[in-house]
Amino acid sequence: MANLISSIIISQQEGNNKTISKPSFTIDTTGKVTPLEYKGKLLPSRIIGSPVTYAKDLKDDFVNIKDAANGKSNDYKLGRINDVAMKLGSLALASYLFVKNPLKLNKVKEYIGFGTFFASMAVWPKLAIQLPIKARTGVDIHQKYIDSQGRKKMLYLDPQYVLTDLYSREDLDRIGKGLKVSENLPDRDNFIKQRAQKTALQGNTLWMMTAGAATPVMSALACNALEKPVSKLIEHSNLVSTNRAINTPEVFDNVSIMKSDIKELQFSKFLKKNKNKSLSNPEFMSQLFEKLSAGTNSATINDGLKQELNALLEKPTLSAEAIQKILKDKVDISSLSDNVKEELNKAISEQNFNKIAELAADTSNLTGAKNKKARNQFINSLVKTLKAEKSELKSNTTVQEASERLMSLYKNLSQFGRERKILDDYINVRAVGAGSYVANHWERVSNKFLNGLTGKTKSFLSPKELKAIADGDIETLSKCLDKLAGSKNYNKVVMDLINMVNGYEEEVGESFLENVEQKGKEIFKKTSNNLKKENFIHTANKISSNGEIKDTAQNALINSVKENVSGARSSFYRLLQTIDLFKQVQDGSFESVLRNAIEAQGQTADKATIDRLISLCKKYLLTATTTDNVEKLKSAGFNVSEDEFKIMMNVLYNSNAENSITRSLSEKIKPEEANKLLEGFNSYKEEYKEKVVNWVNGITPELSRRTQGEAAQSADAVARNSLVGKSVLDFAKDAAAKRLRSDKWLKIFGGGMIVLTAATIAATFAIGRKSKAEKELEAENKVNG
Amino acid sequence: MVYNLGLQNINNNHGIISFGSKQDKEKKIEHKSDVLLYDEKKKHPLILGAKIQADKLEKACTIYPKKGLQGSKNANFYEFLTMGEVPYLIGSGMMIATFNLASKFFDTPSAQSASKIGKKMGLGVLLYGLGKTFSKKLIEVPVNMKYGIDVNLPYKKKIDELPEYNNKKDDLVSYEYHKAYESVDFSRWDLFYDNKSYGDERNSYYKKIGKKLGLTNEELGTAADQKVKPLITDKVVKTKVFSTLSSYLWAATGVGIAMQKPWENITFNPKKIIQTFKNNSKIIEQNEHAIKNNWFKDFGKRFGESCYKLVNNESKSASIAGRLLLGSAVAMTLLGNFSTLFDFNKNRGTNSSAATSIIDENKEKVVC
Repeated sequence: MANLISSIIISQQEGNNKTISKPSFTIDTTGKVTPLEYKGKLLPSRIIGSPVTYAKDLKDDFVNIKDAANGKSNDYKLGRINDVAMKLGSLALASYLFVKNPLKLNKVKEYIGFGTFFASMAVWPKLAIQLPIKARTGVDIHQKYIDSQGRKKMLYLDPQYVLTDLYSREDLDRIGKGLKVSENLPDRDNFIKQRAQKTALQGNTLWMMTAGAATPVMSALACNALEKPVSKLIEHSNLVSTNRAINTPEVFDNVSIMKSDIKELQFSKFLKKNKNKSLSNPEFMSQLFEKLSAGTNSATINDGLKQELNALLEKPTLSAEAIQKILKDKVDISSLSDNVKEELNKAISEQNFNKIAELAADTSNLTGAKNKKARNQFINSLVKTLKAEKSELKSNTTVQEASERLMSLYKNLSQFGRERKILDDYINVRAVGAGSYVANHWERVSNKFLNGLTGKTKSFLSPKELKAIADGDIETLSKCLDKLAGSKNYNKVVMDLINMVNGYEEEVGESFLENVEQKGKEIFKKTSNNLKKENFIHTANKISSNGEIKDTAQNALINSVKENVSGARSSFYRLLQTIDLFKQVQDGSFESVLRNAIEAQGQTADKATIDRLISLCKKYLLTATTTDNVEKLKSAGFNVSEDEFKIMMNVLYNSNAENSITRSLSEKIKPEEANKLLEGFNSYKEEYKEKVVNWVNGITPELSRRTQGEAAQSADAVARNSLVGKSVLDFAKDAAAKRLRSDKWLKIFGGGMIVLTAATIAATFAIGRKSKAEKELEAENKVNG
Repeated sequence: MVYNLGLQNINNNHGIISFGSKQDKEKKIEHKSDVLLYDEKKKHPLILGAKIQADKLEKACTIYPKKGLQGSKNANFYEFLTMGEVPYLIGSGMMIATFNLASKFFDTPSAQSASKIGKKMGLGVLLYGLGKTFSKKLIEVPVNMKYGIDVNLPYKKKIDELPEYNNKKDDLVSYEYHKAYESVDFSRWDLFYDNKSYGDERNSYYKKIGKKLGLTNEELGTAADQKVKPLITDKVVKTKVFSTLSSYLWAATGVGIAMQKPWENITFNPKKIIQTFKNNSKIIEQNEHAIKNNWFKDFGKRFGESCYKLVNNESKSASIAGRLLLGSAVAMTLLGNFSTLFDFNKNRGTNSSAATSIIDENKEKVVC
């Protein structure tokens, strides 16, 4: 402040004597070089720069790097190179993580992370510091300027070197007004410039103090917020692209054919390189297996492939000399007739050991009924000896000899792998693993259900209740479902859930499964037939068979897809059914349905029995994970008799019975439309009744025992489990736990971010304020004025 | 108010003028002016480095923010840059925290998976920093060894501050740690003249460097400094640009290494690490081969496995990407070494200053 005061004193003294003497000499500048006129100017402040400028800057940066690599640069250019290097390094890292991550969403997230981090670095100081200060004081602390050499710099970067001369008259007046500088202050412009510089210094320091905490958290929060829309976009693009690929494989096949041509060439080279090796070489064998099994994507097929390769190994033959040597002690070959000799030679060449032994037995006079036993013993022993001798021999088949067959096997499997990849992609994006439609939809339904329980107001489901549900407290969940049944929100929740489940049926319902089955059969069967034609029976049978073999890759794939899809589907319907049950219990309709069912069984429907069965029905839908038999349920804590259980099943899975959902939907849409929406729900109940309720009632087991094999029974068990789905308690528990986790994370970091932002913006109010000295100076001037 | 203005007193051999009540007290003044820390660095490079870093960090967290927030007229660009380390440190901590802090509230499976990511992220931050810092040495050290040009040679700068309004502070001298070549436009050539650390002559440093750069005595002539300065700038620029470009690639490689599977189940318990380290030190004394349960050994093993995984991953495409990442870092470092250590055009360096100058040196000029 001292130099400001002194400068004002000097300026006041100068004010008294305004005549400034001119120099008494002149300089002739003709033909001389004079300093260039300064062409620097302030740059307009933008939140997002123009793409043209970015492109131009980027081009300049690369020219700078080229110049610097040749030793030509300056501080400004080196500074920019540092920024470019940081972005390039981050891009390289994001690209590596993009490739490394198997999930498409995670791949995209790497670039989102990269983008949001740099965006946060730029946005934080702008939003929390620069703009609030500018709005209040008029000083843009990140004001940029371009100098005569075209270098873009921050005006206030170096507090000791600020080109405030670049400010126009209007700028200074605006800033002076914002900083509330008295109009009549002598040397007002200088005073404004110093105050602006001070304001910028304070703002920049605040930026340095807060950026470290704000940038990563802001970036993490942005990533979190972008996750849902991005995952939805990716899901949509995956569904469309795989659908197109499976319907028009020829379009997508070109690239993969080219790739597989290259691979075939590589495989052929591999065979050539090892042409002199024996097929029995274990190291070669393992390399061979690895290459052949690369695209099969099935343990079942790989089992067949192993057998195929072993079959290729069974090439060694016992030579005629070796066989004759064994027969020498038992048969006098020279005494044999020409016919017998011919037969023997034929058997030797065919390696038909039984025939050889039979011929040998004939020549040893072991004929007739008397010698039958001795003859058999002779034959068995000779066959055994010959086989033992053969097994001693190692395969001498060289790779070269087998290369034609191996190449043919490789080509078939390679084509199969290519076609299967399209089918696998089609299946995976819909039904398998994290990121698939099924997994994402599960998440969406979970959220919708929880939001339904939560209601529009927070009081509907308190954090305490959420925690209790996450801990698996059935009482709390029942209480919440009761609340939902009685709330105005009920119709909307039910409608939303029905739409979601129908959406699921549309995407991965019957038509999807039929498509998978049809395409699967097409691809697997074709490969299997081709392989059979070329006598690769082991592999062919493991890929697909005409029904005689159950353990095929085709069946495994189709079954696993069905299982995946129907498990989630059942869980969704079970959820709907539970919501429906709670509503029916509340409006009293379930009581009458139950009473009728009990009376139809010839039992008395007293209040206690009805209440007991209602509570059992609720408990069944909320917690049961098995339906095999009543005993199993009893061990799971259900105090229920067989008769009672049958009543429960028949009541719960009666698709004809009117349900609360139909009533609820009818309030909003026409009954026909409501019935259409509930088609899937009703067919689920039908299926359940057929496969599970009948099982419980003792019909299916007998039927399956009589008509189907054990494999069919076990397949039924899998189908039944899929129909049971996830218990509603487990479903709610997982959803609540996940919600709690994300709430916790958001609470910590989102809350922290809010506090930091509020504190930073509040701190900007202390920036640019007049210091005591400045106030004193203005006050003094007012008095003088 | 009495100020120690840091002016040289011709009557006072201690070098500093002081007035008023503190006149009698002999204040220890370290330097009269800016001093190159060549000898200190030669003797104890690590200690000096640590001392400078500690000084900068301490001031970046205490004095500089205070000055900045008060809007002190003495605040400068060095202070702003030094404060730039604060967001790096806090940011690294926050980055680790975003992945680790919330995981303790998760249930067991989620906490485990969060912990796996958290460990990798924490380590990623660490290896990013290490990769960025130490990779630069791969280019800087060979240049220093071959030409004697130390781009990181520090000097202690004395700052004579202006008095602040109503400030009771009477010592207006402060010190900053800069590097002689931190600016290629304004390298501190003056600090090398008459510097006894390099020899008795005024131009000893320039002659020494000139010879290492391959110039003969005749070529150097009487104005070795004028001849050598552009050549030094040429080397400094190349060293800086390649070390910068390579450092971020190494930093990315560091994160790539940290993202590998072997780190997922590493435990980090500082108390235990210190304990095992102490125990192992004892064991090592007793028996060199009896190193068991050593956290550091385990860390080293995991590091080795992770480096292998980076280039030989289960997924072929990840292996190729890993090799490209590591390869680009190695290639950039080698290119830096190649470019800085081999001079293909000796005259090119002399032109470099003209390249950045906007004034045509061939024209007569006068300032009016």
